[in-house]
Formats: sequence, C-alpha cells, structure tokens
Amino acid sequence: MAEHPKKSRTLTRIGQAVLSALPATLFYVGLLVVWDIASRAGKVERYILPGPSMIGRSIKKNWDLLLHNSWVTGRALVLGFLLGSLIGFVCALGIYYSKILRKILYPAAVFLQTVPKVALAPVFIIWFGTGQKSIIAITALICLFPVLVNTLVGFEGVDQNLLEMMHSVSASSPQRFYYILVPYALPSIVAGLEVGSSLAAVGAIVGEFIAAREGLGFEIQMASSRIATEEVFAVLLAVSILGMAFYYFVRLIGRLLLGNRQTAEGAQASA
Amino acid sequence: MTDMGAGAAIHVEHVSKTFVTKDGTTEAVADVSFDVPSGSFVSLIGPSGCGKTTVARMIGDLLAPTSGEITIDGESPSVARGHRRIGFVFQRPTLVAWRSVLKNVTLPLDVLGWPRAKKRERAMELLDLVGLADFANHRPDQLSGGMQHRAAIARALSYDPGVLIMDEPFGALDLITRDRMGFELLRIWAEAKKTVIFITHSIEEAVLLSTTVLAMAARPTYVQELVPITLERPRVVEHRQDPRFLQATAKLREMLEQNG
Repeated sequence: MAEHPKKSRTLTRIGQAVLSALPATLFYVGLLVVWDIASRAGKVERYILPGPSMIGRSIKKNWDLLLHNSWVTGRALVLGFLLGSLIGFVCALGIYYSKILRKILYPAAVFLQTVPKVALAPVFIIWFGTGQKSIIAITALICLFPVLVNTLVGFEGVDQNLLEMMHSVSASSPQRFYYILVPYALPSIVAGLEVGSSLAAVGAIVGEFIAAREGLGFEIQMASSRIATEEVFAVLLAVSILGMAFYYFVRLIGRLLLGNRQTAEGAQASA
Repeated sequence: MTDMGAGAAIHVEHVSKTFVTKDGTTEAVADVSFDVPSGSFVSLIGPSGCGKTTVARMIGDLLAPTSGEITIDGESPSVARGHRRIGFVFQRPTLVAWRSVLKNVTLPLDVLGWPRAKKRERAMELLDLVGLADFANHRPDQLSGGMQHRAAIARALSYDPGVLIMDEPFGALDLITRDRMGFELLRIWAEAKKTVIFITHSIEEAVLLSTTVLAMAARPTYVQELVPITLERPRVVEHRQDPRFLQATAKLREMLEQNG
C-alpha cells in the first residue's frame, strides 16, 4: 500500500514531462508530415529537398555503407579528440609551470584562437597526406584550444591560500598538483573537454571533405556530386547522431568525474 | 584529550621588508621588534595596508624579511616550517569542495604521508575539539560560515604546529557569528595551548581575545605600542563592560586615529 503514493507521483511526473514536451513534439511531427506531403505532391523538387520518407528509404538502402563510414569517422573523431585534448592539457601545464614556455606558447595559442582552424586543413594534407592522419590532426587541432584554455583557467583560478597551506606542510610540486591543482581545475577541464567534444565532429567532417576516400564527410561529397540529396540528408542524420552521442558520452564521463560538484560556467570555445 | 605539543615562542628583532616593484621600492615594514611568549594570544592591529599581514607572512615563511631576524623556538621560519611548526588560518575558510569535512582536515596529513587510521583518528579528535564531530562526513558547502571556519582551524591544527597564524580569520562573518567564533577560538586555544598570532581590524575583538595587543603604525610599519590585556580568563561577553576593557580600547583607538 505504501508504494501507491510514490508510484502515482512518478506517474504524475512522467505525465508532466510528456505534457511539457507536447508542443515541440507536435510541431516537429507536423513539420515532417507537411514536408513529406509537399514532397510527394511534387511541390518541392526532390533534388532540392527530398521528403522524410525518401530519406528513410535512402538510409535503408545505404545502411551498410553508412555504418562503415560512421565507424571510420567515429574513429577519427575519437582519436583526434584524445590527441588534441592531451596536447591541450600538456600545453596548459607547460604554460602554468614555466614562464619561458608561457612566453613561447601563449602567442601560438592566441594565433590558434583567432585563425579559423578549418583554413589550416589544406596545409595538414600537404604535411600528413590524404587519409586518416590528416583527419585526426585537423580534429585534434580543433579540440586542442578549448581544452588548453579551460585547463589553464582552472589552474590559474586555484586559491592562493590553499597553495600557501600546502607550502606550510612543505608539499612537493607533484603533491600540490595531485591534491590541489587537478581537483581544483577539474570542473574547468571537464568544461573544456565538453566544448572540445562538441567540436570534434566539425574537425572530422571537414577533414574528410578534402582528404578522405571513406568516412561520412567523403560520402556527403560523393552523394552531393551525384545530386543524391536524399543520401546527403541520410549522412547528415548519421553525422549528427554520431556527434551528439560522442558529446553526451564525454559529458557523462565528466559528470561521473565531478560527482556532485558544479561544472565550470562560461567555458571558452573557439572553432 | 587532544594530544598537543606546546606553543612556540616567537622572537622578532629589527625586521624590515622592502618590496621592489616597477614603480620603485616600497618600505612596507620598518624595524619591527617584539616577543611572543609560548602559548600566548597576540593580536596585530593597525589601519589597512599597515603591513601587519606582511609581518605575519614573514613569521610564517611566506615572505623573507629584507633585514632583521625572526626565530620560532630558536629556529628560523624556514626551518620551523620544515618542522611543521606553522599553521595558517585565512580570511576565507578555503576548504576544498571535493572533500568531506573530515578529509579536509586530513589534507595536510595526506601530504605528510600519515597512515590512514592515524589520520582519521587525529581528524576526529580535532573535529571533536572544534565541535564538528557530527559533521565529519558532510560536504563543506553544507556547513554554515562559522562551521567552515572551525573546520579550517581544525585543519590548521592537524599536524600540531606550535604557532597558529590567523590573518583576519573572521573578517567575512556577520557580527554575531564573529563574536561567537572569537570565544570558540579562545576555548580551542585554551585546550590546544598554541601560540596564536591574530591579525584583525577590530580593536574590540583584539582586546577581548588577546594576551597582548600590538598596535602598528601605518607605512612603513613599526610597533607603536604593546598593550598587555589584564582581563582574567576565561574571557566572557561581560568583559566588554569592564573598565579595563574600555580603557584599553580607548587607548588603542586614540593611538590608531593619530596615525590613520
């Protein structure tokens, strides 16, 4: 009997959630229906805007290719993100700990922030050739900056009094790093990783536009050159699912790392 | 109950500190000398920017004096720090959000590599001393401001330093909490028997808590007057109406106003 109020409360909550999502759901379902009807009636040219049912058929037809290309792009995205985050973290460490490295690396970081990193893609292809290496490098470059800046912001925000307290027990530099710096900066680092993960797909797709023989970016180009617009849309759907899944995965890891601590607000982004 | 070593005696002799900045040199402290007997409670008081914090930071080995000598039980501040003789309490409690209250108290002991059981035992003793035993597993943000300060005091006492340097520890608290914390601190001090160097802006607070009040004159700092406070212990709120309290505060106020 005691279960009942709890159960009904849960049901009420679910009911409220459904109710609050109703306007958006109705709107988008309606949009899809209108879109499909318009497309079937020939009001919109198929090669300009194919209807949802056409896109669906294209997904079914190209399923194996889409899966394969998602795997290829996903791999580049994850490897590029890991590499970029690692370099970003190490650079932040260098800038935080060394005055000389700060003087050397800071201008490079500012340059990186202002230059559109996508514009560097052709240079990377000259350096690394066409293929995975270039794509990973471009993705890494795009992920690097937000991780670098946010990690540095985290380190520099460490309470001086805490460091003074560590001084009073003669804590070594690794001890300061382990007990204070990293946990203190963790919300910022996680925020930087989240921004990086949301940008990783941009890097991978741009890389594949110009330097790939497979992957979702390559497939978009191939399909659009054949004016197979429904396939382009099918790939776009795969790209957004991939990017979103990766972003939420990184976010989840971050939340697990932080436990019940707050994430840092105002993370620095730059694409 | 709580196992504590004795407070250290501090000796400050002809200490000066000159800061070199882009705009030239600033003499922040000029020729300060005083003695702090073991186990006493000494307040440094003076107008803002008078260099009292600089003096405390030199005693705590966070700054080196330009000239003169400081000893803590006969040792230089850096040697004393190496022997874990110096504890700090700051204006903000600076507890770390990612650790429980208990783990905040054991943070210095983690650095010192104490075994787990001993750390826990020590931290529980201290939390008991500061009246936070029931909050050991709470997160710092679940505590009130006054409780956070008590946790910070427990943390500073964890490795049993001889001197507790407190830099305007209750400056950010509301007046009622601040008063309560003062008496709480006196109770902890009476039990732990540490030497306390207490920096404050408040004349009343300094007189009510201290064995001796050092009045400092502004830039460059020197000790203008050393006022012993003869009120008996334990100190109580009623001491505020005591003629000796009123006399001491009036004297200090007059002195600081002359200089302000």
